[in-house]
Amino acid sequence: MDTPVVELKDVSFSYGGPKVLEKVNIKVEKGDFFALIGPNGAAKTTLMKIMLGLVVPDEGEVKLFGKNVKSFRQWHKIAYVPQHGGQINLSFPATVREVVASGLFGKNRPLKGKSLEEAVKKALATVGIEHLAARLIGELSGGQRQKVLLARCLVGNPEVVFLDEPTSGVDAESQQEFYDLLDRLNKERGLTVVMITHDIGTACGIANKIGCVKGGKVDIHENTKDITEDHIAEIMGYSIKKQRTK
Amino acid sequence: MEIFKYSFMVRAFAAGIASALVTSSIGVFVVLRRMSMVGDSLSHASLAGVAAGMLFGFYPFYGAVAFSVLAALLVEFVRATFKRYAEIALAVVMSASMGAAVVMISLGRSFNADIFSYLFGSLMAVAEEDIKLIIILGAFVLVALYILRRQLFSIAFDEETARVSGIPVNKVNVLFSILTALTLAISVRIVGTLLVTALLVIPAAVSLQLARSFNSAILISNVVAVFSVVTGLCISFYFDLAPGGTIVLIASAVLFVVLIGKRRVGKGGI
Repeated sequence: MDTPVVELKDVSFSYGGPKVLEKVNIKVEKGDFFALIGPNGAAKTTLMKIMLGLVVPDEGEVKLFGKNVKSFRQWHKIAYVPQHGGQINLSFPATVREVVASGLFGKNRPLKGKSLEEAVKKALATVGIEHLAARLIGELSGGQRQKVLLARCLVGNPEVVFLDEPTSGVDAESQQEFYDLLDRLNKERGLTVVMITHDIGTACGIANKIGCVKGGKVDIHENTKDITEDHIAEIMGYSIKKQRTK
Repeated sequence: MEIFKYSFMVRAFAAGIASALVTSSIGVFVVLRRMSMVGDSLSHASLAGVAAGMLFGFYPFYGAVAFSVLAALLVEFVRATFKRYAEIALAVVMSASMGAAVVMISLGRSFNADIFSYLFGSLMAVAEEDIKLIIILGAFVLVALYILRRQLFSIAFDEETARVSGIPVNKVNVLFSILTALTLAISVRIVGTLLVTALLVIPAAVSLQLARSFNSAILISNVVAVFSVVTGLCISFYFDLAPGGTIVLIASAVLFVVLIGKRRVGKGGI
């Protein structure tokens, strides 16, 4: 069996007060589509940042591709889109092409010149926004900006993508397009996806593994069909009608 | 042209254009990272360095360079201690620098006239030694910016994602602060410590209004800064005005013309 892409063992964390995460254990395998759901303030974003080494837990161990996150160096295998698209500065004077290319500016990504141009073109084509290449990032709609960030995420051919509420502020049609694209990348390319979402219906439809975060605990469901309306209502504090698209 | 018959003006143009290119290039990153106030803190530190040089008998320009670099490191240190209140670092360093400068100026009462040229910039004061230092340090900053341009772009666009892509963000930030300190120190001779932040920020602000790509933003910022410095130096020569103030007024005028022009064509502000 392959080494898990992400592994959390007995991870606990607090912001100085009560623990917001307590003895959390998660294993994300290669090719998984892992959705993290939970009410606002449940520490989903903190959990994702712990996975990425951006936040250091008080206790427990975090591994990426079998390596402790502190000594992990193969960052080219990983891509991340933060919440609200990283609060993009809309006056940032960069074209879509420049933003997507910046996905190759990290360590171990030595592409330059023509090969960089080719990689950017391919990433733009994958998410269907070649026509926006020369536009400024600040001129795009919310949905288009999310696609640009996804293209930046994909340009380095990562093995796993971490997405924190990637469709917040995006219209329903663009949301569906975005999820369809992720579903395709997961199934066709074997891309591992770790995604925080409030869209539980879609999460249940495309994810093969769901983590319900509440009260510092993460309840893992390996079979999304196990998740009932009542369970979701209990976790989220409200009831929804699931839309299973699978 | 009459203006170029004077060797001090040739030196002023050389130092001014070199300073303009460096400040306007790094200024785009400073503005995009919302670090404009850093300029004020570090330029006040450079004034303390100038005062220390005058008081203890070493070349004041070296004092400006050394003190502003030390202040940059101090800002990073204080910022790391007060993570949630990063602006405290800037206020502490600016106040401490200004306090040190005022104490040293009051101790050396005889150098009030000299310190004035460092506060507001001077055409006459640029020496051969200054030119060499400005060009060497300026070239160093530009080369370092070129080498770090990709990392700086990523950090300015989205710092968290930059960290996850393996960029050593903390190290790059410290290096960037040192480069900003050097930039401000080499510009104080022409523009003066009180106005140097304007040369860092205003050309970048103009470029954010007009640029259609990141590379064009740097280019526009360079053009605005060089235009402001050259025009400002000519006006200050013919009308006997302080060059720093004149240069900053020209740059501000360019910004207002661009803002009004954009509003007229209905494109809004930054």
